[in-house]
Amino acid sequence: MKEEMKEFDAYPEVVESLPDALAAASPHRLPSGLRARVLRAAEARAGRSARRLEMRTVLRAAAVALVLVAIVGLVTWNIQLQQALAQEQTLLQQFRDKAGQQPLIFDIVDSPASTKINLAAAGPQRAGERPPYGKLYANPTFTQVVVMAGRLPDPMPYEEYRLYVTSPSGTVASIGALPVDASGFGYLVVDTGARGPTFAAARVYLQRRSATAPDGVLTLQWESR
Amino acid sequence: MLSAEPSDEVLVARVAKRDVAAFATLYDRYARRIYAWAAHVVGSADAEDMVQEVFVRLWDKAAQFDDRRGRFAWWFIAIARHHLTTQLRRRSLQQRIVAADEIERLLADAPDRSAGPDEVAWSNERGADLLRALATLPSEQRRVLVLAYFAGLSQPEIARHTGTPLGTVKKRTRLALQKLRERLDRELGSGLRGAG
Repeated sequence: MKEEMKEFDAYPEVVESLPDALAAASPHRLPSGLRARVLRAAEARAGRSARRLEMRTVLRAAAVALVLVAIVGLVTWNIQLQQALAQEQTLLQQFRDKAGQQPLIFDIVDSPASTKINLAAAGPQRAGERPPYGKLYANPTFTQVVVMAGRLPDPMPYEEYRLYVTSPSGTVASIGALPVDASGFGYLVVDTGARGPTFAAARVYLQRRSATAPDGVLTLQWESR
Repeated sequence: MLSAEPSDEVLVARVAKRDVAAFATLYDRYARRIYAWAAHVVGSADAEDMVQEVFVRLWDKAAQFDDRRGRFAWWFIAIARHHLTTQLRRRSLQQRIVAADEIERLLADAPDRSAGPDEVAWSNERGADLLRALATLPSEQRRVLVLAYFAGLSQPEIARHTGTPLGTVKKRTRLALQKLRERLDRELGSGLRGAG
């Protein structure tokens, strides 16, 4: 058909008049109701276009809002990530300052094979500071675990921070006290007696030194999901 | 006397801006010729739908019209022809040939029926002139033109149907178009060709 079209395109004044010629010869007359029907179709289309335009505007606004929310979310997430990284670096730096003479500890903390558990704040915090935080490191080739925490509120002289872990079978046991310095930083290295220890939960309580069970003020905690 | 009526090109620009009144004027100017064509090739029962579909296309595509590329009439009739021939191809070749035969008979010897007082849209003299010119064409030239243009047959289909070599079909088509243009030029003056 393309060839015919080219031929016809070369004679536009003839081609556009051929239907006129046929209409002049034809006995067919336009039905009287057709005009109103065609106009209604156009008007309906105009209405649909307007609605589509309206819908497009709404969708565009929604998309912009979504993008803004995503940007705000990303920025917030990035800030939180930066804070977490800074927090971890501070903690590690404090840890290195304190435990620099114990290479075994760094074998655990720096190893990519180690499992790191983040202990989240659950209780009181130091006045004017952000909430306390902590980490627990375990490694499949070592029997020791390393626990460190920062920004812990100062304990009373008769109190201490004690770490309780829950085994996968559900047994809760204290694995040691976490001595803290004036800034609220402390660390603890515990030999669990088994390589690559795993836990279902870990909690740090601020409790009386004489306590033998997990009570007092829950300060840090983690629970496997 | 100068006409105060807006040109088709002005009207289609308004249609592009969703002006229903401009659309209605274009309907008044063009509906009859689209309807007559559709009624002959698909029957009057389907012709109304065809007319509506063609005009809806005009509504949708009005913004695409570019008057630097040609007159509105040529552009719109091309849209109508494309739509009609697309619909026609769903019908058998035999049905299309029957429709073309009927059109050819009309164009060969029908009187100009356009003079009815209600046919305001059909005031264009060019159609009447072309009708007279078509009647004077050799029947074999008129036939290939009708088969190709109105019934949408390809030139190889026409060659097969008429038992004529393809080259002859092409030559007859070209000759028919040339003669019609010469006739239009003589009747209406060379100004008509300027827009093409």
